Amino acid sequence: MHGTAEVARIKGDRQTEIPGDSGVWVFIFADMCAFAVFFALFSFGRLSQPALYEASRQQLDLRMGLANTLILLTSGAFMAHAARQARAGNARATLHSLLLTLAVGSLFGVTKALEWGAKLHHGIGLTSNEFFTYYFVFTGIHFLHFVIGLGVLLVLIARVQGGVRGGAIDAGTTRWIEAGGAYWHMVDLLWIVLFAMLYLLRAA
Amino acid sequence: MIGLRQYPVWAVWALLVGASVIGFALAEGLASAQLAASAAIILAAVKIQLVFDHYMELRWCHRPLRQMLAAWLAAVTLILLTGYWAA
Repeated sequence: MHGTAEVARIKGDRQTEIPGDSGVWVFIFADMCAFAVFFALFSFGRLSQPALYEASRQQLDLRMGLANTLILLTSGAFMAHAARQARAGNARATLHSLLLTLAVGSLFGVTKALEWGAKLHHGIGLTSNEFFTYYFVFTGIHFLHFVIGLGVLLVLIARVQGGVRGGAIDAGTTRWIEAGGAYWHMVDLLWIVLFAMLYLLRAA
Repeated sequence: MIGLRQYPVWAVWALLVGASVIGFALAEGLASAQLAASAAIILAAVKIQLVFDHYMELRWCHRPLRQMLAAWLAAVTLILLTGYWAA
């Protein structure tokens, strides 16, 4: 049975408290602040060598960057849908949405591997220049977050599968989905900034 | 009047995809470099706010967390805009 706060939280899809768990949000915010420092480092580096950064940016595949963005945004939409289905108590629909989140999200790993492979094939690596050092380090750390996110999704799917067999989804599992979803969306939004910063800032 | 906050997830997804494609098209040469870069940063900020509100579902969440995330977004946007225009 739901408590008063839980009922208020899920009633009519309106929330009055933090989705998931407050500890997860501390971790997410700390992680986002670490990435903000990365963005500042990159912007500061760009100030001293704008021509090098622009020449290097032109070697990136913008279409691949856009594909990565669309993959993560689509996967994120399935994740948001999963959280709503979980709050509505639809275990089967939640499971389907989580599986689609995982399936679509996994494509990001494929496109990222293709992109990095192409760069390495053309002799562009971590030590090529400052821009590519930042490019490989930042996208590499982001990729690590993505892989952890895939693990989180697998845990959520395993947990919801039990609920599907039982025909229901409990409040604890819903909180897990909200917390895991918040992490997965953090992976989305950090990529949104990386895509703009690394690929789209064309110099005059 | 129906606000965006009442739209389903897929309407928000369409907005996010549209904003991403516009930013990409501008960077590909549909606008001057400075306009394209500034638009890319602003569009990224708008997309992140949409993710906060509609994917993370923070639009009705308690104020301190929303304020912290809004401060983060403002700082990152300022860093990118300053870094671009000062170069």
